[in-house]
Amino acid sequence: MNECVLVVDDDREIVKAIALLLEKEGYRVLKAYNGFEALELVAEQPVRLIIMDVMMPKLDGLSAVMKIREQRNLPIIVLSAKSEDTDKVLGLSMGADDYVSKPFHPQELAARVKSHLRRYTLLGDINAQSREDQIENGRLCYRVQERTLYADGEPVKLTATETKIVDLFMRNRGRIFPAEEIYRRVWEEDAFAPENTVMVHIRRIREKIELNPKEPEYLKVVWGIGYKMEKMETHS
Amino acid sequence: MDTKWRKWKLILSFTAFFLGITLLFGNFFSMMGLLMSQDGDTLADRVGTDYQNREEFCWSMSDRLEELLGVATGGKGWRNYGAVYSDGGVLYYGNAYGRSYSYSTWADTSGEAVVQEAVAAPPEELGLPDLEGRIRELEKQVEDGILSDDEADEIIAEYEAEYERAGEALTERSWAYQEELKPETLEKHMEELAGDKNILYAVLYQGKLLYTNIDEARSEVGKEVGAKDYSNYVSEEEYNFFLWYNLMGDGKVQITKDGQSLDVYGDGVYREDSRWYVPGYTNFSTDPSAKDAVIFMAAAKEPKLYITGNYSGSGTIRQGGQLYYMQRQQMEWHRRYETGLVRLGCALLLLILAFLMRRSRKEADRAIGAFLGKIWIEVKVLLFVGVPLVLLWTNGRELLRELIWMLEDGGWYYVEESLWYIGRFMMNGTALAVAFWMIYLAVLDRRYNKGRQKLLTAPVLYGLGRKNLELPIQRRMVSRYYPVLAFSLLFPFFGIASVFGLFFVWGWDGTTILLTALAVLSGVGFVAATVVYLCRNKQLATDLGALAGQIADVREGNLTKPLELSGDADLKAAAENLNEIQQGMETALKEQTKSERMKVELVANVSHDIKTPLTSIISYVELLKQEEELPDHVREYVQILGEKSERLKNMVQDVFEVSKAASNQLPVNMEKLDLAKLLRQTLADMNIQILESGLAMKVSLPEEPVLILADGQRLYRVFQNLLQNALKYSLKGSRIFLVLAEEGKTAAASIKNTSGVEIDGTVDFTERFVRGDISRTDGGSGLGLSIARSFTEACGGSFDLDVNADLFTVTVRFEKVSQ
Repeated sequence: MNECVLVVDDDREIVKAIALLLEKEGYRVLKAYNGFEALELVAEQPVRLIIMDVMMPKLDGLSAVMKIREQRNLPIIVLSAKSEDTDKVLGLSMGADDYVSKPFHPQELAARVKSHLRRYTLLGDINAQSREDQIENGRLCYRVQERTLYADGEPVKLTATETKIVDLFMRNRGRIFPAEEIYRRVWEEDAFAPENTVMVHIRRIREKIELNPKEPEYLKVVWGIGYKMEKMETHS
Repeated sequence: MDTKWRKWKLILSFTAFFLGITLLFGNFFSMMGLLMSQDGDTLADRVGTDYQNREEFCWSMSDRLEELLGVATGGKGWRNYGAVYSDGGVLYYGNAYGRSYSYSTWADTSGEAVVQEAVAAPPEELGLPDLEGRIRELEKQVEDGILSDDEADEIIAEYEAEYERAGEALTERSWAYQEELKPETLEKHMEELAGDKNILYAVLYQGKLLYTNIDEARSEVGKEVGAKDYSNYVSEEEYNFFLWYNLMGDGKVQITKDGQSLDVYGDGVYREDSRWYVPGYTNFSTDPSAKDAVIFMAAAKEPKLYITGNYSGSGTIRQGGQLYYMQRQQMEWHRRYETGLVRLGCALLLLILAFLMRRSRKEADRAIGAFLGKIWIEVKVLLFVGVPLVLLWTNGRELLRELIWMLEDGGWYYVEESLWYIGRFMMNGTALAVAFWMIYLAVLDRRYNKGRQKLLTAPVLYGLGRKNLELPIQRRMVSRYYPVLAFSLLFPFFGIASVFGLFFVWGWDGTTILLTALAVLSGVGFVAATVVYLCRNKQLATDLGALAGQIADVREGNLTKPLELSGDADLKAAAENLNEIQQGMETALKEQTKSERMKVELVANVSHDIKTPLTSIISYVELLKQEEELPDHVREYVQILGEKSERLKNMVQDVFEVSKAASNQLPVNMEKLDLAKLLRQTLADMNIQILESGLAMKVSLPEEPVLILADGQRLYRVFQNLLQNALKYSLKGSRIFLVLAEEGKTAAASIKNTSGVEIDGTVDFTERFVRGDISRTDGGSGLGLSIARSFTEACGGSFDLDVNADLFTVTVRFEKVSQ
């Protein structure tokens, strides 16, 4: 039952550290130190997820990702010491599912692994039976009838007010809401400078839905304008 | 609001104001003239419809009575004003009351009067000695030495005495002649009075009817009729005013008007302001002879003009017509008064309307101001001077004439009179209204178009117009020379013309021909030299323009194209120097860019190289933390390791970003955002930190949006860093002030805090790795302010840091943008 995760990095200590962390979480970990080894292991073993460093000798991470993508459709998390947006975009466009820049927090990486695996295994079914009354956004899925938010297929416990905010954002993904409007639509009254109240709730929601609440991916502040739910691609 | 209606309101309000003011000024003074007339009438009498209520009428009747009494009593005190003789001469009778009637013999200036001819002859004919001739003779004798001055003076005194005596004799003769002429004059005068049927009269003396112009009573003239009342002969429909003198034999006057008798005497005492100057007051008695006279007079209700044909004589004669003109004048006054009242009423209503719509009118003023702004100032000045001149010419020619006289004579005497004319001119309503509107428009023009008047001559006045400054330098140089050119062409022209002028004075001879030739030659030479000068300088101007353009290009950073001028150009050397500077700059810039790029690459590489081992460190620290069997002191070490590795991680990231920002390679995503909102969001985001710090935030943000153009994410980092900085270094228990103020076109957000430790004023805190405390033991990377500054500048804002004792102030300024 232990899911098999492949960790690829030329830095053996990092591979070891990641392996130890993931094994503690209960995964079976395969190790590779360059792209070719990674390709071989993917061909031989029932790998369910790959963590791949970009800068490697022999065959670099991005080329390996492209090769793997030709045969297999499985979640790939790319690691890189470059933290520029252009690198991130390049990695994602080469077929990676996620991007974690070094130095990362081990817990965050573990959370991402868990998230991707859940979606890959469990949500594959949920997505297959995609329901009409649900709004999907990346890892998130909001079922309108139930008024429940699912993150990686698991229901998120939200208070009534938080649910109202999530409802507003999930229905209007990508739209920017000023705090005043959020307040008016959720609390249904006008408020003077509702910034603090709204921010408190948004922070709480982030802690429940974001993998790294300090660097949110979904619930974002658009500085000087308002707040929005980032519109994400939903992988099937 | 409906714009069309607004426009109409504008027009309406201004029209009301315009008409109101114009009517007010146009009528004010004519009304004042009516109100302030100096006669004894009340306003109601003056502008009423009954001319008989006027004081002038009373005087007219009183005078006529006096005159008729004089006639009745055989020439005791009659007089007349401007009686016209049948032969056209005008006689002015001046007499003293109570003396025998007489007339002075001044003919009117028209020269038609010939009475003088009948009375007076040239001095010789009148027997007056030729005084002037005699004096001239005496002077001659004095000159010839026959007489001495003293002797001559004596003789002159004698002559003068003789002349005086002769004059007296002449006067005696004149009196006698007048006496002789009396009956004839009287007859002519009475004929004259009779012709004016506006006043009917009957004059009785000692029971005998002497004179009357009542047609029905003419047959009774010369007969004994007793104290007969002739009012019975007069139609009461045409005549409504009756006056009897001494009908009852009491020497008093009775008057009825419209059948009602009037109170003539009041309390019986005559005073200056009594209306009726007739005998019968206790202090106004009459002589005994007048007691034998009975006079009846009647005045017409509607006076007419009586004209008699005298075609064998001088044509037609207007008979008196005193009452007729009196009524005409009153009708004119009445009309003026009524229309004036109506106009003033209208003016008042319009002004009230204008006042009620004063907001619209203000807008109208603005619109008019805008319109005036479009008119060339020359036209405005011309109108401002021209309109009063035209007005003066049409209305104030007398004033002009006065002024000219004054100038000619140069005497102060005229100043007073000129002032009077100016005053009268000003009293003219039109002039006043026009003056008001001109001043009004001038004030509007000044208020709304101050400093941006349109000059028609601007294109002509080079260098004054702004347009000239927009021209490239070579065009400016040429255009500046145009006035010189114009005058340099005029100069030879007038020079030659003046030489020609000399010919007419001196005539054609060798000198003038030579002069002409020289003038023509020098003129042609001057023009030619000017043209050559211009052409040569035109090339210089073109080169200069190219040089200026090249300098501008270099400044813009366009360093590739060198400036090529022809080999003999005046500016060749300058152009070459510039090219060298350009090359030098290009090289320097290339090197600088290269070194910047290398620096960023170096930092990027270093930070990348640090990140990889850091990842291991962080990961193994995490693993260590998860070990359960560690002793407490080791756990503490691990904790410290964790914190420091975290700090190292932040620093690496910060260094990378600062170096990118410093070399202008930081990508920014500029968008329109509300700075006030951004600050609120930042405060909300950092709320927990603020609360934990125990410091008080004093925040002042405008409620309305303050829109700027910036990268929201970067700007958030700026204020996050600034606030963190303030929270970290503030004195415990002190306050942090966050103020967003709008300074004209810029928005300035400032954060002030009191430092906990003494600040070294000489340190530049925005330098990388500089911190308030030298020991560097706390958690910051030392890059906070540096990042804040470079991010602010990357977004196009300005970043100012001010240290005043312990007060630490950072101000971030951005240009505001419109909605």
